[in-house]
Amino acid sequence: MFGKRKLFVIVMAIIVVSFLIPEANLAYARVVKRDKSVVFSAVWPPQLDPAVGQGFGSAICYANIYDSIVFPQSDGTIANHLAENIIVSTDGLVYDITLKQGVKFHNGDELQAKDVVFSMNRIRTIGEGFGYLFIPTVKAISSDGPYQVTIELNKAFGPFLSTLVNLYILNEAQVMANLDQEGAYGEFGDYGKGWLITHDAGSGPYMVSEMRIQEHMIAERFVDYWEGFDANNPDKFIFVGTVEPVTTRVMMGKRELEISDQWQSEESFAALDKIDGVELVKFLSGSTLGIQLNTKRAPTDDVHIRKALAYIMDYEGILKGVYPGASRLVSPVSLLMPGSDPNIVGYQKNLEKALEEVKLSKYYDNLDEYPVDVCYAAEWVTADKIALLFQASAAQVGIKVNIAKQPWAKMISDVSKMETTAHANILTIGPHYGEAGTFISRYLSSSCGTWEQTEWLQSEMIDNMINDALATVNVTKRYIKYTKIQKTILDLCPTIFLVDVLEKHAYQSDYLEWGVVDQLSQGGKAIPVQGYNMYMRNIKVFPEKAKK
Amino acid sequence: MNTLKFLFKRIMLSLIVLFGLSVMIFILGRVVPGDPARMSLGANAPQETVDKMRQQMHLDEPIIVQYGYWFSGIIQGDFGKSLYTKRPVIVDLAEFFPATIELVLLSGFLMGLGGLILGIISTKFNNTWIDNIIRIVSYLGVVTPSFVFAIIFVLVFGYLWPIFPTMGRLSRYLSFPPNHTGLLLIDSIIAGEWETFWNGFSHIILPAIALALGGMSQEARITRSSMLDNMSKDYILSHRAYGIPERKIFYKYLLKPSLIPTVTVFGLDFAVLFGNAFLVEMVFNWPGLSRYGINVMLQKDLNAISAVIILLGAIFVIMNIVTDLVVSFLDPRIQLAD
Repeated sequence: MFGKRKLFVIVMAIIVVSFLIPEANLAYARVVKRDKSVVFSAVWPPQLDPAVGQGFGSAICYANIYDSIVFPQSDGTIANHLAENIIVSTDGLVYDITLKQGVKFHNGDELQAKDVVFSMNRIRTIGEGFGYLFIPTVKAISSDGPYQVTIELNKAFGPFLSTLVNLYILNEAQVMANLDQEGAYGEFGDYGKGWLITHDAGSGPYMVSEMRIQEHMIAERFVDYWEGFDANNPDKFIFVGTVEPVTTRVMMGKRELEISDQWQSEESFAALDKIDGVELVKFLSGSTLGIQLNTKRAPTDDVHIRKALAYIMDYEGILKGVYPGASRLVSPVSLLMPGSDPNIVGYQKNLEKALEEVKLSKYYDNLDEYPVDVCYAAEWVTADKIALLFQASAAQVGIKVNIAKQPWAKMISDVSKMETTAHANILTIGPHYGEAGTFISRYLSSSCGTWEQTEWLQSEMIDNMINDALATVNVTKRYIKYTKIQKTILDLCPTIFLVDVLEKHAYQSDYLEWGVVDQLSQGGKAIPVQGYNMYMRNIKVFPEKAKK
Repeated sequence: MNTLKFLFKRIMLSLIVLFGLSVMIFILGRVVPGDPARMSLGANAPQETVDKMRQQMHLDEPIIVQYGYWFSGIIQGDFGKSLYTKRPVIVDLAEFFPATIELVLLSGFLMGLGGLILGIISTKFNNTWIDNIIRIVSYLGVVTPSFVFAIIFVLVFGYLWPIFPTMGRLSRYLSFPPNHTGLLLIDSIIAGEWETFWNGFSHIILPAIALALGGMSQEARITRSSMLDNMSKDYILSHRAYGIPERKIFYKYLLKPSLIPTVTVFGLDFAVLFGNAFLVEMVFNWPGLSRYGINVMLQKDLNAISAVIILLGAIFVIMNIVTDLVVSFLDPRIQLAD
């Protein structure tokens, strides 16, 4: 079959062909259109149904594909969006909303009050996604004519307008025309859930043109959008479901990806930053990272032990070694949130104070008998370093820390009961709406048993203070109450507040103008609601500026 | 025992194996801590919604009852709903499995053909520099995981020398051809869409080679050692003594029996490709079953996990049967009953 000479000829032929195939491919690569699209990557899958999803990818889709009654601004305030006017009753129980006229859904139907009623009822019935924001608060919703909506609340809820950002309006007629009658919602069949996996029924600036699950989602400009477009807004945006570092790096280098995901490692971001034309942007995400201390198990049931741990923690080590460039979190609330108080100082490292607190503790004489277990999700690599720093810090005051890494599923199971909740849990908490109340309300006793409150604080005083603040309709008064609660929580020290988490992205700075970058350069902040910093109407693309 | 009897017996045994696998994976999935409904709906979902989902998934019933519901479902082709994609799992399998099949078929082809050719060349040039190079490369191929090849390929051919696409099955400016088989290359040939075919081929080639290299190296080594082993056997010597041409001895009398261990290992390696495809699909953003498998495992999507594992188990079982049939064809002395 093969002589050496024949073999040589075959090998050479393979080499020649292998050069020809790539050349042909390069020809293909050259004809790939560099249009005005924005491609970004995030963890898959985005849910297109606003009554189902709530993750980062889904939130980006909702912000761009649907409209809401109000819209979050970069200064933290809420502005009318679909609403022409909103009148709130003095007791804060009734919201009368007048809708703008002439807003079109993607299929050309006019958006009317009945669609708002339908969307609210749908999300409350399904109960998934952002449904938890409306189920406990909304008593009834009704329409009066095509543009008038009335929402009645069960009890006054100050941040209600902030939560309305996450009520996305669907076209009732379109959803009802695409029901699967086999569903679990009686006359509503599946409430359109099946159809909305790959379609949209929105009125937002972009409409879904292709959804290939596990691969990409493409949304194109809705030319009849009521707010119009800038000429350089993206013609379409493409969501790709990969966060694999090598793939991300290659795509950024080839200008096939405009904005990277936020979950790349520090090393990966550093590599992306080195690509010509690519820059990093980082801003407060609104999420907070802390060590939640179980206040019902010895020794962390003793406030002095908790305070000792808070005083001895190596905050600088975390900010320098684990989250370079991030800011310190000093209270339960991210500084990005309206209602946060920048004057709160919080706990700073102080060995003397830590030793004093330990001495005041009832466990001082037998600390050896009460080791502290610190738990975190095994899937979260960074938490290793935080746990080690916590262990090393605690050792300085004689508190022994055992590190217990658990699969996330096991951790969820453990925190559901007070007895099985570890003494300390390293966790990140994200906001549910754009106001400080979202972080404060997690200390309500009703949150115990979930990963949002592993402290098991169960304080009637704190519950009353929080409920009172949330029921306060006047924004200024509510914010003052938030500050008071934060100080009280600091005094009880159920949590060691570590990092005000940054959201970091690499982006193509030579041909992309990104609204959030402009805001930051002018000393502003990012929009404190998930998904809205990727609002495509705040992005402009100049393909001709792209470096070859 | 004739072939039909053998097949019947193996299929019956395989069904028992698959039943055992289904029980094992079902129980393992349920005893691992963590409430899938709560994980899927989030920390703040109202308890009523969580309870409703648990009820829909029968998670509130004894495990034996849960298994009954689940097993009767899969007999009817209903694997339940995926918490990851929110669709029936069977719809997911129908969409993602062809992508993996296409990748694995091409990989298997490259693995078998490449391994065979390299093994033959290595034997032919035994103990020369050619043999040495192939052996060294084969060792490297065997010890290097597929995902490492995948990362290297993406960096080299996607970034440093960007000549191949490194993401997905098809460029976004092209549409998928009408779906007949789910296999993009075949469907584009049926539709006569040659640009789509070429584009799809250029997308699949890197992941297919990355996936094939490990098995290819293994096959090359086994073919070589088997051929060298048989070369010194008496029957080869007697063929030589009869004056049969060397070429005929090599390809007719030496190669065929030497292929038996290669085929056996190939069968297993082919099934293993589905497992190795997990990370390769992640690296190349290949929307296949293996990538789906990883994602559903991370989400503790019980229905989808069970379906993926049952499907992969069935593939292993089928490949074992096929391997036995091919081996018996290559050497009729090997009785199927054995």
